Amino acid sequence: MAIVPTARIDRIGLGDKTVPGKAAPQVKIIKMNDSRKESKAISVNFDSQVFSLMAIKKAAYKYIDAFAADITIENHEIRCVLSLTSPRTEESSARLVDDFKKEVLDQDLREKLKDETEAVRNLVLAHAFSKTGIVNNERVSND
Amino acid sequence: MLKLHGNLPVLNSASRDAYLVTITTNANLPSVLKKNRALLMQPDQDPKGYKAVLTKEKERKAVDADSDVFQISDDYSYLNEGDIVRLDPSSGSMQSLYRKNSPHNTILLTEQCNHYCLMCSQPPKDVDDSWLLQEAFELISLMPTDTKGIGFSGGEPTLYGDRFIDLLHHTKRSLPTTAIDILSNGRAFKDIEFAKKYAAVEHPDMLLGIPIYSDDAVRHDYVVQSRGAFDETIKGILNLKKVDQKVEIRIVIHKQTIDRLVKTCEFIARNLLFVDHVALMGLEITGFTRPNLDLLWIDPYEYKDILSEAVAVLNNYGMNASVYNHQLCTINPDVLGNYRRSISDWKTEFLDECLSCTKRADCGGLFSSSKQFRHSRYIKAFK
Amino acid sequence: MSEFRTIEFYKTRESSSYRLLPFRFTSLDKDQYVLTNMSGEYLVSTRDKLLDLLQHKLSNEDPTYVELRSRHFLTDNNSSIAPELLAIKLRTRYDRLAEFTGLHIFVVTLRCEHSCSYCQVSRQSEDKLRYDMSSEIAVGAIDLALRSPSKNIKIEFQGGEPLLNFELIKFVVLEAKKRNQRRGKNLAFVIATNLALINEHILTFCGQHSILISTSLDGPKDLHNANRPRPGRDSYEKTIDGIKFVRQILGKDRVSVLMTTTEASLNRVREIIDEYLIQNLNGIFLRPLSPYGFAIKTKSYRAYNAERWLDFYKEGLEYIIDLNRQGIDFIEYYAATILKKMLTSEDPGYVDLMSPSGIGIGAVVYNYDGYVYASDESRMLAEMGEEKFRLGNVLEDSYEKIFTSPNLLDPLEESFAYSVPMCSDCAFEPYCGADPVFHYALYRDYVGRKPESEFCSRNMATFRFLIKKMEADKFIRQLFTKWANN
Repeated sequence: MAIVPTARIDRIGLGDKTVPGKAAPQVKIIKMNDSRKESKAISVNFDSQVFSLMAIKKAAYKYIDAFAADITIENHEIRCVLSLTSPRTEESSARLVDDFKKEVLDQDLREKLKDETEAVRNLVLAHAFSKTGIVNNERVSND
Repeated sequence: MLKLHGNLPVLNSASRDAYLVTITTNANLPSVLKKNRALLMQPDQDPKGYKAVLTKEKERKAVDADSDVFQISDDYSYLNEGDIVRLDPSSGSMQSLYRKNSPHNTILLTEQCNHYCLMCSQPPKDVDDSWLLQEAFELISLMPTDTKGIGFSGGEPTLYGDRFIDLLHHTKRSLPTTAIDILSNGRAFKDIEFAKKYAAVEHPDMLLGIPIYSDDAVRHDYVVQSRGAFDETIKGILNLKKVDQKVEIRIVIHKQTIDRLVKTCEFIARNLLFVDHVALMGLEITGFTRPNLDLLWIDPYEYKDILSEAVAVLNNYGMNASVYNHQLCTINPDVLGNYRRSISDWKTEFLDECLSCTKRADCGGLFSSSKQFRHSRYIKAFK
Repeated sequence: MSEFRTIEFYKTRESSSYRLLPFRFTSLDKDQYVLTNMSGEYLVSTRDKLLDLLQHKLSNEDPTYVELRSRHFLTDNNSSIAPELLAIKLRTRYDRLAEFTGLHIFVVTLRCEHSCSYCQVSRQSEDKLRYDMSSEIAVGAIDLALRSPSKNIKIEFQGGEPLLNFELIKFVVLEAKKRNQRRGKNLAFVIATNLALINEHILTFCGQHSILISTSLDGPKDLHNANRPRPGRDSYEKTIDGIKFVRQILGKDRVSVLMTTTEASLNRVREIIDEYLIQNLNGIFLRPLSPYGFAIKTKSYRAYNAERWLDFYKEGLEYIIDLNRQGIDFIEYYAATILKKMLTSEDPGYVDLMSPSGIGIGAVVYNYDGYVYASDESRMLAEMGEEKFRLGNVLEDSYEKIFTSPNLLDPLEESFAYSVPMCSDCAFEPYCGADPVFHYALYRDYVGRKPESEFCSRNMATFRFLIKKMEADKFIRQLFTKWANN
């Protein structure tokens, strides 16, 4: 795809809530033409010391019906080039990118939540599937 | 309100210590039985040979020097054949402990407690009153075996530990078909071994009434004034269910519990669906309730919609739920299916307004303390 | 009397000292998220609060904090009983799994005199007797069914039109009861029929053996007849007369009525519901359409998609809620099924929304020819040439061989939602299901890509719709709670 970079680099925070200590992802929209719906490739970069690769992959997976993502790593940057599956207006693309970035943060937080709660999750599951309990016939015998 | 306790003039004292005794109106009992009965004397009866005599007459007339004679007033006209009282000939103290015609006989086992509820109707005393437990053993031995049900309350009965369990065994042996209702905060049962001992009584009809005042642990702990109470109470309930014992959850409704009442019922439905009964209870204006009235008082009429919502949650989840201690004119009709006349007979009262009410026979009335100190402003007779 | 302490005394000092419990979160709408805890209880929160929560910044003065603690999303020094309660709720939820297969479908014949466009049975015309199940195969199937560990066994007779082989139905009922004598299971029987052939002799037998009748009513007469062509064009009349007849002889609670959604239904949901009201039914199951059998062949599946069905469903549900507001007790069973998963720890056992998938575990199908399939839809796929979910044959294979067939175990394992991309993180997973057969039919793998899956988008939209309705309106919340416990 022939892409003429016509420059527009946005530094956008993560919604209104900038996570302290974390850098905002950089978004570069490379487009051919301003006014009409066009197929675009959009470049979104993330700091790899802030976000995990898995979080970005999972977020990209969620939008697989909206775009295909080429993901590469260079230095400390995870680079995503998003190829839209169907044409969108500029406004719609911007919203899509916003949603994608939010989803990356969500996935990142999900990972942290999972790590943090791994131990108690295993505890609950072990308890749930152990022999003694008060469900059904598993009464504690009185001897 | 019945006067269950008082100090009577002693016309003759033959014994020194207090004792329990069964009342009779029969002046012609065989002499062997007279020796452990108290005669509720009529004017022309011969009271000779009875352990105790309760008479309305001011002088003792033709009585044995071996009888304790007490003068009773009309305040005690409720006393009847088969009732059991504690008499103390040195002080004249009389306490009604068991009334044969009453469905609400509850035995106080202790005034000690590890909670300090804002609305406690039996404020805790940090005194050794284990004599009450001893007396309970004796009282149960005296009770007729056809007694339908009795209650054990306190304070916190389980503070007696194994001796409390002993009492339960004794009750089962003495009164094999009598149902037992126990009021407890349930915390002692967080120890599964204690729960197993309780279950080992193998009683055919025993229920623990355990309060949970909120789904919010902090609020529950606050109402009972004890940190960590919520977790231990829940743990106790879970253990009791592991050993297949019947549990009822009791919620007293007042200003500190009303805001989360619906959520509390949802919590019970989601987490404790297996409990046997849930009781939603109106506030009694006695004990600690009176000094804390500003914290606690809310007119039931003003919370009746919340009550309806809470009851609907429990009903929708198929739980057994009852509404206690409310008046018919302060609730919505949609809780009538759950409404019970629950106030103990000896403390049920009605207002003047109630005299003309067409639903009085179906209504539970008010606590005598509510009548005296604070009740709904919206009590109004049904036409 | 010692002093009473204020509530402040009973709170922990610092807010950061709470510990998170495992939970999942997914967006509800632009601003809000749905959080679900380990036992599937949900809570709605703004994104801001959620971020605070996850970063341990949420203050214990915040009202949401109290909700999160009492609904088991976090623990702190004031209460840590949550893990134990979660374990009990989880175990209750999964209880049903150990029961294993409860629903056993016997396809007693493929013959049918209707020719419904969406039919998942490829109809064979009436005179081909080789499409009837033999008694030899029936006996094999009965033995397999009674081998199931489940205490409750439901045998459902399907077809074609099963009454065309009523003799075999009688045989199965009597033989199953006989063979069950030493097993002591609770046997229940259902006949899924279009009622055109019902008569007194059949109903008498049903009454003697407590057999339930299940039939279809798609809507008002023209809609029903258009969906279900029959020589004589009187499927509707036969159905209505049949329902009346069954009620008369067996009782109102002995006949249940299901609805099939077709393209023709999509604009007429109110009329369909009105038809159910006229027929004195106390609820309706607004079913999604599955893309099998004739449905795919005749392109009637492509003719509608998740979006259109959702509009149909939402309009229908709103209408039913309004009926209830007016005091008419009428229940929508699809919502009730989902609500049971949202609001209780019970499992409704609805095969299409189970994870692990309901194939084999919830239900199994014994076809007229002796082949055993993991589900109704699995059999459909076989009719279309895809035998992926065929498990074995009653005459040749043992119970063990059938229920450990890779054709069953592979899709069960691979589609287990807890482990599938996107599903594993999804807050709605406790309400959803794995549908490996659906996904295989459309996407040629057991899982599909969820972002592209109609099953996923339809389900998520439905869950969001139900949650938003409950959160916004107390009446609806109470109504839904009643339905969930139905």
